[in-house]
Amino acid sequence: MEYIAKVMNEVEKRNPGELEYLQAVREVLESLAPVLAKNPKYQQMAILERIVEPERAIVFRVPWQDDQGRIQVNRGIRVQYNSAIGPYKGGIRFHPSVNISILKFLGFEQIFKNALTTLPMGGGKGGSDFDPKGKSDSEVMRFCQSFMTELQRHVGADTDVPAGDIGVGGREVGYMFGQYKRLRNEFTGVLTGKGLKWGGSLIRPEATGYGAVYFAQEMLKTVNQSLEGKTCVISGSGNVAQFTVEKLIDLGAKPVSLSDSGGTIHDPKGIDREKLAWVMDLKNNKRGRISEYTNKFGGAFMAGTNPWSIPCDCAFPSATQNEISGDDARALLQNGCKLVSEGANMPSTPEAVDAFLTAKIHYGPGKAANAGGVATSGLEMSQNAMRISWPREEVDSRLHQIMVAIHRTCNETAREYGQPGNLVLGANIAGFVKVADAMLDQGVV
Amino acid sequence: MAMMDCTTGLPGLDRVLKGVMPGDNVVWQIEEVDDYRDLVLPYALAACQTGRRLIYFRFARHEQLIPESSGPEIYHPDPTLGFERFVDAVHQVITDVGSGAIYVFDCLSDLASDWQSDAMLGNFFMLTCPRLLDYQSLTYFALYRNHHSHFASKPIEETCQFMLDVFRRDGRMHIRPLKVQYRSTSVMNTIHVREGDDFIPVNSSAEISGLLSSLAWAGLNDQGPLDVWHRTFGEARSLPLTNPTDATGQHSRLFHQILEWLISGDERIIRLANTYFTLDDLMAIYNRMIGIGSIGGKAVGMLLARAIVNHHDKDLANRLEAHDSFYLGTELYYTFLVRNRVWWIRQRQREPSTFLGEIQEARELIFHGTFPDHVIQRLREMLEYFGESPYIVRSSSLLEDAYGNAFAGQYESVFCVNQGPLDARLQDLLNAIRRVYASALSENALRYRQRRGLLNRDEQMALLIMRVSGSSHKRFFYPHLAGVGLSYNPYAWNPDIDPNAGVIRLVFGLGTRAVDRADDDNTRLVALNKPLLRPESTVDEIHQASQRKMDCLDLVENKLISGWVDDLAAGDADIPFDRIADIHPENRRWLLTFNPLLRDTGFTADIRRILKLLSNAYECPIDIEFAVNIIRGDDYRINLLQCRPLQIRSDNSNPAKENASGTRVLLQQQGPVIGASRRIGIDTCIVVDPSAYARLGEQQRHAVARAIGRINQSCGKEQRAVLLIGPGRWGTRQPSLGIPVRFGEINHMLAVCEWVTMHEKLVPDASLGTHFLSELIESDMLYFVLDTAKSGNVLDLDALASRPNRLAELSPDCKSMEYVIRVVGIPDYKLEADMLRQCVVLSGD
Repeated sequence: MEYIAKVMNEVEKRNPGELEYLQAVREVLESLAPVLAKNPKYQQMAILERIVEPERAIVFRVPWQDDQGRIQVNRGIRVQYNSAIGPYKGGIRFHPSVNISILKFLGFEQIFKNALTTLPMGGGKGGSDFDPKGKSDSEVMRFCQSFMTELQRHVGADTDVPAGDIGVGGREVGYMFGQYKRLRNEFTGVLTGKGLKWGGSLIRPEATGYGAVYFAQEMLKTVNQSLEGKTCVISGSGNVAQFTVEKLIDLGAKPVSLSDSGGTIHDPKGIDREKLAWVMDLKNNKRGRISEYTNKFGGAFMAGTNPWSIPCDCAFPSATQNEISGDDARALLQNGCKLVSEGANMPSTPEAVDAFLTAKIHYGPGKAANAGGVATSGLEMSQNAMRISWPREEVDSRLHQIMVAIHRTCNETAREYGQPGNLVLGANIAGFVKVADAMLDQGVV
Repeated sequence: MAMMDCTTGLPGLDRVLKGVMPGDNVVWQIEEVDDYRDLVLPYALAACQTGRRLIYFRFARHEQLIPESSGPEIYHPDPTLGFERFVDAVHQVITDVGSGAIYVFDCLSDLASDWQSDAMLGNFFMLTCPRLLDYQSLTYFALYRNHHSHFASKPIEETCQFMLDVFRRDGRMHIRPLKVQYRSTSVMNTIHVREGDDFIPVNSSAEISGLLSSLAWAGLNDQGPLDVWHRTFGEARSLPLTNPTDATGQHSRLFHQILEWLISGDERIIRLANTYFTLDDLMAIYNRMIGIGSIGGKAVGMLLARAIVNHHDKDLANRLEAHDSFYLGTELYYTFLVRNRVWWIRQRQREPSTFLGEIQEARELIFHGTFPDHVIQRLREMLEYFGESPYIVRSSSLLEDAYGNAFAGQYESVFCVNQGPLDARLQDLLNAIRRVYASALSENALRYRQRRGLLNRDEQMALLIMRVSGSSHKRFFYPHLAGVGLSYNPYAWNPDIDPNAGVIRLVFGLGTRAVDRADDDNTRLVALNKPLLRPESTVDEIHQASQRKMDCLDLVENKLISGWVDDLAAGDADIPFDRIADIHPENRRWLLTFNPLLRDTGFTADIRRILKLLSNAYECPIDIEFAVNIIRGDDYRINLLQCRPLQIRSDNSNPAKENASGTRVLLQQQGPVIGASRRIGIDTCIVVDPSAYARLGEQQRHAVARAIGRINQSCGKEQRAVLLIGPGRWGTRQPSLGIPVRFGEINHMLAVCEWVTMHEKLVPDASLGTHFLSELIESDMLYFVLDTAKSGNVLDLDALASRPNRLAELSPDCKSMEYVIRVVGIPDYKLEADMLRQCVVLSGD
């Protein structure tokens, strides 16, 4: 489309050599052709030209002293990309590779991920080229304090709410939150991913897995079915996979597989609560191999393979990107799979996605089905703003509502654009439309 | 050979013996070699007269028995080259000559001196005599009477057809048949006196008793005379404990003699032993030896390490836990093979065409093999000494743990939990010894030797039997810590790490997890100048990289087990977790970081000093194995279990030459190398094209990672030796910086190269594999960084491009990736990594 090509051309001129960023922009823009064709106002109001440019990018010095008393200097960056639908929201990354190009690329994608949750969260990303590897606790603390000493001028519960990312876990969030509180003398939800005892939210580890199952449930509801009695294959055995299995058990389904880098276990009798508890101890505490499952509970271990050859009704890819190839997709379809809900990030190759869409099975793309993780950040912000901590059940219930809303939005958008059931199209468009419409409403800013 | 042609050359003697026959092995027990000569010469003459081939084996120090003018074919096998080569030389002649020849051997007694062992002499005879019988040859042997223990005389007497005493009294030769096989026994024990060519029986009791009493009968002791080994040690034992002046030189002579016998033939090791061992040290070894011969490389390394530390730093030596070891000499191994009919199988396994034949037969024979009674008795005494304490039977071959050899890790070590009645424990011990012996003839060991062209190499196996370091914790037995240490740190992943300070890999429990590398768990890598530095930055990452499983001995089940630390030890109040672990701030479980010990005690400094002292003494980088037991509070003892020059892992005896003329260099790099030095053949090179990769979107980059995972699986199945080269960081979570594989997707690669390139706007920093350092170390993968922008660094892409892309053959479902992944066969290339010089060369002739 000419408009997209023109914008892309401008973006390339303005950001020469930023291949990752340019690639991300191109992918998003190309997916928007139907929207732009249907809504010429977006072009008239230069929505694309505006949306590809960050509202603000802050670069600052982060000096700190190492344990030997030497002064070290790192660079801090916060890219505040888009606040059309809510405060900027996006992770902070500490990694030597961090630069403005990478953060622009990540921040741009974050706008649409957040918008899709249906929650009021804008898009942003930040970080530093600080490498936490090999640093002592004290060094990490001094760095985080210095980082926040500058960043605090630019963030706030109603302005910009960063979260953790690579190199920034509970420890770092704690140090940054402590420094923010000290400097501003206020206890607000300026960061998410906080400790449970000081403003964090329950259900954070569970959210992505639970969300993927809720999304699957919604897809089945459209044909008056439920998960009860369905045989489900799950890949992975980390957080997402574990809580996918837990919620599937809650809803009466029969999960029969888990996997890790060594291979896949297949338990035709189903993974029940007792077995799941054992797996959680194995993977979270003992950090053992999933192959040990069969020694304990029987079933088969398939070394070096994924679970996609196992006959099933539903598949929940929860391990990694591109884990379902075209051949895997065909094997799933051949074995009777009628639903795929992606807990992992982009687990299906384009060929696999095509196969699912062609077969017209229920296919929940990751950007929608695994939005539960992002959604809990929004729920943490809400609890902080209300000065309350919801019990698990309340958070879970709200997560459920969010996933229902995400599915509804994607489904309706797909229908609106003439491809009912195509949730890939729906997810690509829905997030953009929400942000673009807000930008239209708010004038040229 | 017709029976009528067989003769001693003395008709009277033929009559006494009722004729000699083809296949007879005649052993003369002599007092003087002249008597033997008097018997040999007519025998040789008769052979010549009947046109028979006369073969004379000339090897002893006495004068030649048969003049060359008598026409013998004289062969000179050299016993000083070792038992195996001597046997080979003799048997090669016997095989080449074929049947019906007449043989004369020099007096065999010198062989026992050359091999320090009567048992080895017996072994030689047991191997040679049946072979001569098979070839229907007639053979003369001689031994000095009353010179050998029953370890020689008994097997010889049991195997030969004739054994006769020969002696001279009043100038007259007498003979006395002691064994005559398959002939009339009427002459047995009858003394005959030679008169001309005739031999006349001596019947008068007065004359017989006079003759016998002059024969210096050995007496009623059960072993007969001591052999040279025991005589020498007996002589050493009789010396005063301290002998500073050694005016007679006797002390020095014995020291060097014994040193040569006990220690392997490696000159540099002998030099070290010469410097650091005393005669008392050697006598202490002797006092704990079963069988004789060398104690092998592993035992020597362990003892030398202790002696070196003790020599240079008495305070540090006081930190060492005393070892409690026994040694089974190399001679026992030979004896076991010979007496259990494994010897000839082993010899056939030295032929490249048949080296894998009869493996199962050999194992069967070994596992059902018997030991001499006197050995069993000594082993029983050793078990009584140990009581029911666990011990380990370790291989200690001659080539193991010497300078620059490549035999490390080829042979088994077996833990014996040692619980129960003595007889059952003895059986366990014998089985453990059989298992270690069998490991020298295993398919793996044979293939290893074959690949290096070492099938023919003499490899004797001694055993080291050590008390297991540790203590009982309820039903389990293990040390608090164990590990391996390297005086030069090949894992310098951070610029603050000084490689020369050394490194250790620590585990809780038995050290098998550190030595053997556990693919299902982690060890703690400690850079000794920065002991608390680790690549993981968050508690979760530290948890992920911490040890969760342990090895220990189960005193109830009587076996070595592996299990979760949580299940086996976490609830045991006896274990000083506060010294070896930190508490996870969230789940309050112990995290095995070993930080308190490393941070708050002298352990780090001690182990660093030990490594320094040993590498200085060895004059090269070394590695050690050790165990640590925390006694109370901050007090601990270090048990040094092994020390050896740092090995360069090699799979071939023909190293590639860097930049040598005619050598093609495919890759040459000077830069960070993570992993031990090695010299390995590479049959496949996989290259991810940086320019093609840089053009891909994020999802396609993940697709490349998954494809690499599938290729990795194929490589694992086909056991390929693969070098993987790709732009940026392997295992990154950010596809913009490299290829986002998980470790399980590259775990079958032998070597992984991080190519510092992506596209003109992005040159990713090297990661040195820190995101999966622990897995990388556990799998012993080589990881290195190639920066082709630096002068001298080379990757010959044209050479790679000139070879066909075999991606589709290796992994058909990845064919669509041919534009970005190139799989090239390079069986003619060899990769050499030198961690000291931090360089890698991939080259072929």
